[in-house]
Amino acid sequence: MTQLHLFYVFAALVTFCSVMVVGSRNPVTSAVFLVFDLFLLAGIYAMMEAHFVAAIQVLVYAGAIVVLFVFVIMLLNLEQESHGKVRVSIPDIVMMGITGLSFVIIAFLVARVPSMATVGEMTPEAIAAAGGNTYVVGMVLFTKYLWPFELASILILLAMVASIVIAKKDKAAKPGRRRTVNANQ
Amino acid sequence: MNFSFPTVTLDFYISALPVLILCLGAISAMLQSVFKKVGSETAVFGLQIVILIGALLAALLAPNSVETAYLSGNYLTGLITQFGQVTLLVIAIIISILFKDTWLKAKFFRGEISSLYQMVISGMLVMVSSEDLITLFVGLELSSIGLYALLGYTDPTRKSQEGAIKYFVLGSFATALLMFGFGLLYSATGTMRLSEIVELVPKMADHNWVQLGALFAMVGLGFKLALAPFHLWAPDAYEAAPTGITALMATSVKVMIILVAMRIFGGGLSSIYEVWMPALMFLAVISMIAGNVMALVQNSLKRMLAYSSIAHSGYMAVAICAIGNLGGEFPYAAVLYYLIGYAIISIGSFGILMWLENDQNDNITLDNLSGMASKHPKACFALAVFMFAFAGMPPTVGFISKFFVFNAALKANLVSLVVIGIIGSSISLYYYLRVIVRMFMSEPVKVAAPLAPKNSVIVSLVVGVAVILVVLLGTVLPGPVMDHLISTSLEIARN
Repeated sequence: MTQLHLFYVFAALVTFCSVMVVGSRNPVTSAVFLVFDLFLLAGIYAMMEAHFVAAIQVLVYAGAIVVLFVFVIMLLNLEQESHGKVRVSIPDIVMMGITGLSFVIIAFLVARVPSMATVGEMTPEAIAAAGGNTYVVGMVLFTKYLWPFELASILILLAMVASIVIAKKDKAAKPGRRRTVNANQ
Repeated sequence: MNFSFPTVTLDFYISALPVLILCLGAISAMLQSVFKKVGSETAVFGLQIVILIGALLAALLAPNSVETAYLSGNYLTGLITQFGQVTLLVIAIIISILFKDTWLKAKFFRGEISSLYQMVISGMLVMVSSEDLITLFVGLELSSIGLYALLGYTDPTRKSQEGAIKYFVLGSFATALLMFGFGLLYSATGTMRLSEIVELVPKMADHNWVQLGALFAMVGLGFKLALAPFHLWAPDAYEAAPTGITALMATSVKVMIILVAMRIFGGGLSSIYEVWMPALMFLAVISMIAGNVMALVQNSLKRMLAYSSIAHSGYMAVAICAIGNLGGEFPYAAVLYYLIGYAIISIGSFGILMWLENDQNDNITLDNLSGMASKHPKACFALAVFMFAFAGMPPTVGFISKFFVFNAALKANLVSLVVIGIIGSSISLYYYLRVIVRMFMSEPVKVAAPLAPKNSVIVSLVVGVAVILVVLLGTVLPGPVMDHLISTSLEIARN
């Protein structure tokens, strides 16, 4: 039963940190809460015996991605939001109510299942017998999911090209190769 | 647990050749822009067309007689896959050719953009040729992320960025919902393969996770298909995108999502249709009403076509409902026929818009079209044919395809949907015919940036063929084409 209690603690903290990420005025505070958020999520993963995912969550998200966030905040030189109170109108409240209600309904439906037992071949015992989490993830990635794994490399390439295309300034092109069209600027 | 390394056979390489060719083409296009000599606009265009045609040939020649699953269901071959791949590649080739004669050609035929374009198409091909939820997800991301960039790249200072951001934010939201749905399906069944899910689902039909997973997957796909009430991004994104990319979003994305929906809802989750069908019926009704009503007040043609595409998504959703309720191959064939017809009409009309646009005016309004018939009678005639076809008037393909879809819906006892669909179609007559009225029966309006399109052989050819096909598919061809589509659909239809 302690595991369940631990889960509630983690879940409550995750919710709190997520709210703080959105709610705080200072971008750096948001980023720090994001780190906490991702760490706590890693804790939940670890409790689900997904140790590999938990480790990757800490390494990649809490380690690398949030550092990038902080870099961006630093480069953009963001300051604390200065404008006054956030106004909440009646339609906003109605929308929040509907969203909250649907969330509760979904949570209720998710929780109300005949059995919470793991189905399929990937049970914790089977994974432990096969050689542990990391081994199984690696094996599945290179056997069963070889095709999507290879496609994911194309996906990452695409994401890189896409972000460069969006971020690039046209003026940066060499004078001889500049092929811009004058839009109505 | 035993892991066996997949046997990657020659057969797999042959059937996956379209995707592989496109990936290779994408990488070579990227390298192309590094070198001055081969990085010119013409060279990029040439390579892109050669790659796309090569992929099309590979898709046409791929062995398709038996539905075969390679790499544990991650890559499927068969008639439906072939239909999807060939349709997507033909659309991609035509849009690429149409770009050649627009003011955007110098911006579009650059190495990096060409690379993005080919990767987007390869993602679409991956999506229509898979029965594994993970591969479906990767394919969806491939096609969407590329589209976000293609939508916003033209000009960082203008509206295109706003539309791109909207599409990006709502698209990521939709992806998250889809992922959540897939996750619930996996948690309930323990497998990601649709062919295994279909056997497991009937045993656990009252399992909440299966039902919620189906609904979340529907919401995610509905976002991408621009079904109301998940359509809010569509008008802005359609308006902001370069018109060729709008055409891609209106045609290819719909083909892709409908084929995936056929596999997921018609195949994997068909046994719990009484769970997802009411929800889909609701989406279809809202789409048909909201799309058609909102289109009434639009002045920009691209916005109008965006709302009309929402309504058309609604008609396609009606056919998916019929698949759930009726089963058999006829609803599948009906929705495939609808897709073909809609793609031809859309490409024709967006082709004309692309031809009319220039760097001063990339958003044609009704004022621009006023009295245009005296200057460009042929183009106006073609646009009029397309508008009639969109509205579903005989003897065009629009009528016959709506007839098939409503016929399937009636057979499936979805009378209310058909009634609403017909009411929606009659509302749509107003805004489609208004375009014709403005072109043929009103005086030119003085506008700030007049349109001065140059004659273009490419556009005349594409639009001419589209007009002929629209009429032929509405009069002579429905019989044979429908027979072919029915034999195609036999592959995935479960009775």
